[in-house]
Amino acid sequence: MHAQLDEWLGLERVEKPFPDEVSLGCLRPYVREWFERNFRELTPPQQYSFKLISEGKNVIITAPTGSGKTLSAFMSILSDLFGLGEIGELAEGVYCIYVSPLKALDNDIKRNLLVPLKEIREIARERGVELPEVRIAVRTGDVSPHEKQKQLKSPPHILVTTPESIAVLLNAPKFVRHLRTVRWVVVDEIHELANDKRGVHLALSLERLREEVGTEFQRVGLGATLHPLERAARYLVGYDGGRPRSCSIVDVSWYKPFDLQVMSPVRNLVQTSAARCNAALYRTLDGLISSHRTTLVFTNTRSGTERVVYHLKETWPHKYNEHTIGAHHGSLSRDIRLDVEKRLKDGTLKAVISSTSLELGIDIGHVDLVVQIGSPKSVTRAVQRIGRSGHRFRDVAKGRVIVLDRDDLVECTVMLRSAMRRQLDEIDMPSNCLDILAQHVVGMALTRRWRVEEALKVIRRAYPYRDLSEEDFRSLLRYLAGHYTSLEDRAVYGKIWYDEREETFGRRGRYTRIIYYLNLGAIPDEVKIDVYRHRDRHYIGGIEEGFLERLRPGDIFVLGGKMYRFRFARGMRCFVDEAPADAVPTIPAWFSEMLPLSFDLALEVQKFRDRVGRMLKRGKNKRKIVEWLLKNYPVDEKAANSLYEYFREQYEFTGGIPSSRELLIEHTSDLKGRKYYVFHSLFGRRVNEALSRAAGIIASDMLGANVAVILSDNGFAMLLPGRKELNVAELVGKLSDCDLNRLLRKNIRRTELMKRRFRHCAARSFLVLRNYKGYKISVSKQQLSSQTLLNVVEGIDPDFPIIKETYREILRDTMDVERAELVLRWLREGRLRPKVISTEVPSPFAHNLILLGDADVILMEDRKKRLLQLYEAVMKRIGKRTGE
Amino acid sequence: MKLWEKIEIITPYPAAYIRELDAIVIADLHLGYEGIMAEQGIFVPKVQFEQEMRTLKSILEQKDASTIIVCGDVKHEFSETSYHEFVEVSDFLGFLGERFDEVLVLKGNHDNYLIRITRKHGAKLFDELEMDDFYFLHGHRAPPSLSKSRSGYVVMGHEHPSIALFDEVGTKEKVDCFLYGRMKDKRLLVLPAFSTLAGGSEVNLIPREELLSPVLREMTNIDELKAVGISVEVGCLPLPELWKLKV
Repeated sequence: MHAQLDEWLGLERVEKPFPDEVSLGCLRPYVREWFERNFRELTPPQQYSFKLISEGKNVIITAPTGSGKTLSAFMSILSDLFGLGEIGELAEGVYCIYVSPLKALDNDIKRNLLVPLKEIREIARERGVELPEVRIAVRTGDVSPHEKQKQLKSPPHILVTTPESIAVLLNAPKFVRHLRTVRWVVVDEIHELANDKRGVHLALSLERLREEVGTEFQRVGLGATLHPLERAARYLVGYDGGRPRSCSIVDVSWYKPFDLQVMSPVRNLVQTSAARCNAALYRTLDGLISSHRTTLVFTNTRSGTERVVYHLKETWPHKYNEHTIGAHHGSLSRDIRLDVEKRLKDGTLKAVISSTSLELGIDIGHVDLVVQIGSPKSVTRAVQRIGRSGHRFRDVAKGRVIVLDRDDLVECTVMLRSAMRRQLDEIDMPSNCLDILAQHVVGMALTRRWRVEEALKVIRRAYPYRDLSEEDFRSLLRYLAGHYTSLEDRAVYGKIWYDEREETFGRRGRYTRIIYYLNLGAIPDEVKIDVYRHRDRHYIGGIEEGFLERLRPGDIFVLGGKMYRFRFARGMRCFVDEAPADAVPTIPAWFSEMLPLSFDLALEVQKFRDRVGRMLKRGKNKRKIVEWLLKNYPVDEKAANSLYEYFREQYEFTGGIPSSRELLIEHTSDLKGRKYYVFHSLFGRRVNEALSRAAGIIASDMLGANVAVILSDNGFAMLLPGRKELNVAELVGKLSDCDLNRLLRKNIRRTELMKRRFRHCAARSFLVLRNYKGYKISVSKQQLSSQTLLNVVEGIDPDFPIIKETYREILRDTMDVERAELVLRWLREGRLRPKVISTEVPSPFAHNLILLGDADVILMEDRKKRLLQLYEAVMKRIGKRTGE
Repeated sequence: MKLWEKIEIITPYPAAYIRELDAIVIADLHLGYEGIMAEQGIFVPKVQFEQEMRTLKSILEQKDASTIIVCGDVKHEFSETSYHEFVEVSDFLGFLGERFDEVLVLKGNHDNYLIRITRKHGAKLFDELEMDDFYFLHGHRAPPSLSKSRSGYVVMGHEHPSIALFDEVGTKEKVDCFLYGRMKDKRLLVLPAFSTLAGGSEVNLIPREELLSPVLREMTNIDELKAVGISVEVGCLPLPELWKLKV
């Protein structure tokens, strides 16, 4: 409780809006007049923000799109800027920095502010006040050198930019002096940043900026949906001298009414074939698009976006063609995206299909319906996406989620109910990320020489680094200075120099500045794998890296409407054969992004299972249950019917529905006779990442064999080799008593996950450069080299900071060890009881898990034994095959 | 482990021994690999020289030979900035020069300019080398003299062969290997890389036309070659013909 109080110290929720007269009274008369000429009333966020911002307070505001958020942040700032101009004190320099995670949003903001900037001056002139121009400019990676020169000569008073560009500007030798006049920083779409390393990156940039400015600036945060707001506020404002800076919190995110529904394309999702389901999906989609003016459709992947556009055009060429629908996602060229955005705004498009790129606040005009295909995986995301409809602030946000599989159906049913009850997922910001810190330390060293203690003080002002240990910081400095190599090699390996006796560090190497510019950022390189027909090297299309990782030789998958059998991959190329038309895909086409279901929402799904399970047990008939569903959950009739059928099948198959009080463990085999132990642990993927691997490690030790684990949000399965039988009771006993952290740390090293994540961390910390002296290092090369690197560096120092960061990222961000430990405690205390059943084939609830789950292998600890076993297995298999 | 009467593997190392010549044969040291990587922005610390020296010393504890034959790629490409790699190669050849009566080096595709160093240490440099019944080459080219040669044995490097082993749960382990078998009327031995860092070909996964060496692509049917995996932990893992190991 005290910790909580401490964390929230200095935060103030502002519950009552200020009267309009008070808010407008904060503005300079000509600014006020401009506002009143253009708007009849203040929107809810504006009723708070004008006053709070003009008082110089740090403010975080959450409000839905279309609520005049931009002006709510900028009105008081514009007023103050012109006020400075009025008395002749508006100097050359940047006064306000606006930062958003999206370049496209930046251009939008500039356009939207240009109008008031011009008109306010005109109004002032009418009133006989001559105001100087307040300049605004965009600065992103796309800006031309010419434009940059212009900005250097005549700096904009309002600089519109991205997190990455701020980090670049902080090291731009000439431009940086223009930043010393900064008084305001506006961070938009804060919900996009507060969950990941990109946000961590920005937090450090802001503290470096604070150092550059020499005094505190005012911070304004904007977001659509955030929970808890207090944490987001902390993130925005950071600490000073170990004490959190103060911040006012305004939450008006919920005044917009929502109209939500889960739709099933068919009456019975369980018993309809994938092909018919797909056809029904497009009919449903067509029905929705046809009955609305403009529809925005979200899919979870870019390939999904392409597929939807392709099918719509193919099925109804007269209705859906170039003129009426468009795709919008990150892989498309900027021109195409801008064109689609423009036509969306014009209202000439009936529908736009997007992956994530239209999720954020670009102005998209009048959209009256948002359709989401497949689960958006989090309440926050669902609300965010659906909130894109109903543009004006009094409009209803209307959203339909079309589900394609049974677990999605259950999940979305519960999710949308949570959305209507305003239960959002918590944000969870990573802390003490050493890879991001590495970048900034290099950046800091480039500007001047630092004392260690002084640098640490600046870094600890950033919320994610508030309790960074001195030891970690020093070990990072040693890494960056190349102290892990011989003295003479440091010229090449070192990015800084670090004098451990004097406690100082500074810049080193003539390429370091370039390395910093070209390689900074938190987003790991995305990989597109090219697919070729093996026979003639004919190019077929592209798949995502994550997808390739799931493919094993022989797997069949769909690409561009055809089926292919995977043969092998080499680097970024993947080779396939055409599969016969009657083949059955072994990997689903609609595989969704790996966004985890939150723990809280998973528990809600458990409760839902409990409720339905109780009704089935009491012998309630179908009509009763379907009615109950329709009354209590935002589902359509087909969805309610499918839900019922899904639960009924499971109920009849296993004699019950797994309840929140039991851990159902199902011993089963698939059609190929492979043996699985399925744990119906519905706790969300992050918890299951930890539980499944721990269980896999224990099983591997018990059996002396490699064990494959497959996991999803709904549970995990272990696949054992050959005829191995597992003593489940013993396994559960060992699992619930284990030291989870220790066990995982020791064994993660041998997983694919570790290799991939190390690559990301190595790239972020400049250990593997993506871009160097004209070399562009391909991702496959990054991956290969990273594996080599991991082995080598580990040999030198197992606690190497980048290795440490990789473990941290896996154990803290990818996995949720804390909650997994909670589950283990429930097991020990008997709140959760294991129940073992045997089935001949996987029960309905286990189907998706085995088919769609994410697989990884737990290798036996002893490499010698591992190799010998593998060798024997291979030799035996060959003997069988060749009759030797 | 004996491959043929005349050639054996010095278990469990990436080295062969030929009794008739009293020679140890190794290939693909790729010294200076880290420097090249660092030049491209991948900062692998320098560890290979030490590792290779250690391995070489262990080999010498097992087999006290008078001759050493290096089938190419003593060094990786030289980077422009570092003198260090030059020193590594020089030290390595210096060690060989002191330890062996004769040091014979085949030129690899990465070995331009090597002559300056070999001369200094009394090592002899060849494009191809025939001795008694043995024909040595690196393997990046198929020299005309190879098909005309009357030697019974051909020994080469270049490919860095390894085998990928799978099991039913999806484990994959990569093991460096020797390849050996018939090449028309001759016997062919492909050595694994001595380098611990430079990657190679998983010969049971990739199709024939993707192999690096023209000798393997064009002059022999690689599927009929047998493999012997080597690992420090287990020793030698004798494997059958590659076609049986295809996935």
